[in-house]
Amino acid sequence: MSALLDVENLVKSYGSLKAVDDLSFSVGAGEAFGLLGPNGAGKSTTMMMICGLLQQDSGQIRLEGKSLNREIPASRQRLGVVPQDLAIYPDLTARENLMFFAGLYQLTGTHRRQKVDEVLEQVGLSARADDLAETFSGGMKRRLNFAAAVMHEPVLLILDEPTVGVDPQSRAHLIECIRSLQKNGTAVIYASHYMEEVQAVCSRAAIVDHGRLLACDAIPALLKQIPFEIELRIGNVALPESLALGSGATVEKDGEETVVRISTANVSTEAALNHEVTDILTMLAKYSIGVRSIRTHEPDLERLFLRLTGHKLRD
Amino acid sequence: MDALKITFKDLTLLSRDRRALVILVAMPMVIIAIVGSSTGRLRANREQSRQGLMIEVADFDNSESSKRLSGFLAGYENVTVRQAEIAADKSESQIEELESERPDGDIDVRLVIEPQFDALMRDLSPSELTSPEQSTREKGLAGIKLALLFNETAADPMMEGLAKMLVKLSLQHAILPIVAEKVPMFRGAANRAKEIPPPWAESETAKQTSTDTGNRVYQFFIPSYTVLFVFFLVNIMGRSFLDERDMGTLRRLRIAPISPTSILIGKTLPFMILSLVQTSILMISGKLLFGMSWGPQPFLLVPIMLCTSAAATSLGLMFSTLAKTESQVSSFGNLILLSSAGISGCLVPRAWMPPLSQKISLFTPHAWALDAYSEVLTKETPDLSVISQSCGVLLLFSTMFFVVGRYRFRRDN
Repeated sequence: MSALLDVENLVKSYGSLKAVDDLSFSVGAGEAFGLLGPNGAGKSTTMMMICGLLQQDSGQIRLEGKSLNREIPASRQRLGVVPQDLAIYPDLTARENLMFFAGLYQLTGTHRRQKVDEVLEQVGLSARADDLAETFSGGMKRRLNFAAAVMHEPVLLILDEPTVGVDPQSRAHLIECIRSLQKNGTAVIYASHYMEEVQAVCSRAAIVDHGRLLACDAIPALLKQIPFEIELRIGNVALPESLALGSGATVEKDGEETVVRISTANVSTEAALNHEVTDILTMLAKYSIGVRSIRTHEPDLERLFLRLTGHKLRD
Repeated sequence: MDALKITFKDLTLLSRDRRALVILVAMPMVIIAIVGSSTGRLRANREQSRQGLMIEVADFDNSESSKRLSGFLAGYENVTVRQAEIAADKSESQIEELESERPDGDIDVRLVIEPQFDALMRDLSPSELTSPEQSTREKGLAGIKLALLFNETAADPMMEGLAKMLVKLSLQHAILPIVAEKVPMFRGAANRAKEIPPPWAESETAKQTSTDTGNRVYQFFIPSYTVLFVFFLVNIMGRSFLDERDMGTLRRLRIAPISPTSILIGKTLPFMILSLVQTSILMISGKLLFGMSWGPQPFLLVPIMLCTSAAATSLGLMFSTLAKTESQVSSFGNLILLSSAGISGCLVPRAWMPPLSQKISLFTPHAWALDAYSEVLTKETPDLSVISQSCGVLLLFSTMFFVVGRYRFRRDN
């Protein structure tokens, strides 16, 4: 896949604080790329530099091979941005909002009206097109916020927490819209704290923290860094010392409860994992120890995220 | 073109913001009316300003002396003399009526000159006319038929004293030829033509009285308050920028493929249009409601309005890029407005200020705007060089404010 967006060695400092520190990644045409990181990791700063709102200290940002120059407004014509905070005029109707933003992206005449109608239909606001945005629910405002960014058919759509504070229906609708755009060839940079959304929408993702890139790969490859786990909960029972667990299992206490974990991190193959589980269950039965629950923990981005960025609270 | 799109959007938003429209258009008119009525007079009430004295002269004698008396009165600065309408028969009943009823409306004082005024003056002996003894003079003058009546609603001891003194002085001048006939030593004085004004009917004041309906108070108040309220836009613009920032739409505008200058022009133009509309409404209502004159060359108001609006909106733009919070907009906005209004002469005429304050006022665009308005509205032949200089300085202010605003806007982030 040829790179649509190239970010190379991006650096941005605020005084002594390095918000973005030698960050590099690329996004292919039509690719959905997740950008993950805790608060203050440098995601927003990176996106602001791509949008032209901020000037990087050093590094290069190229879209379709051309440098994105903050001083040349036309270079932003092919970008679409859905900001985290709502950015619509409450005292204008949905249609007036979209007509205005479409005009800023040089859409004119009949084409502009058609695109506005089309996008209103796409985000499910046609019936309320001529109502003031201030009368909309949170979800409707979010959908209008999204619509304002896609009318000019950008080649790259940057979404910063696009589903914050919306109901599940609106969230599902927005995600469907994003998938639809992506299918039509629009590349997407999706920044969100909702890892399951990123996993559902994106094919690749990068995890950043303290301005540095911690991981960047296709999502299946990233998930391989996280082990598959099976968790057996056996209640408040002390395991006999004679009970010999295999090397793939660990025993730990979760409050009063004893938990046996069997992880792919400790066994070499899936067959070995199955063998290990069977052995442990047989032994527990032999010692008349009942299993209260069995849970599986499949690898996901949240676990990877926490593993890479830690559990320490961020400001 | 991009700027015009933003302008159209902002005009739409402004048209839906009734509070702002009321502040910008209705409030100045209300304040002009209130201040005008408390210090001057509303057109419907009293046409002329309390800064001057309006004397109605009912001349039943119509002699050379009586006309001279009116002429001397009219010759005093800030005194306007109006002739009362007198019936052809000069009936006793009309004299009695005018001598018994106090003047009302815009007339402060009525002077009734009864028939035989000139003849009775000529009958006085030289000693009655010129005696150093006050009692002798008063005895002689007691027979002179003059009556002075004061407006009841404008009763003011100082004004009454002043009017009496002016009539007395005018009378002394008016009868000088008669005195000179009787006392040769006064002939030199009587012959000095410059001391004898033309008869009343031919005086400049008499010619102007019937046509000059301008109101001097509003000639000052309307331009002053127009300029003051045009600069009120600073607050409204600051709030508009702040709203745009708070709504996140300013960021969206900056992300769009348009230049920062287009954004700034687009955000400034609606307020420029609003300011021109506001000024036009105030000027038109000033003329229609308060009797203000647009001066002999009203078209000269156009460049002044344009330059003043440009300076005000550019100041608003600069302020908008500096103020970051609602409280900054309110506190700094009001500080800028009130202090500059006070310094510039919007609240107090610059002519009343000490020389140093007058010089300091020139650091405000308001003062230059007021100078230009004053030139057009109050001068019989406005000096174009004064107007162009004022407009030039206003444009300089405008450019300076815009450049600073643009610099701040680009640095913002």
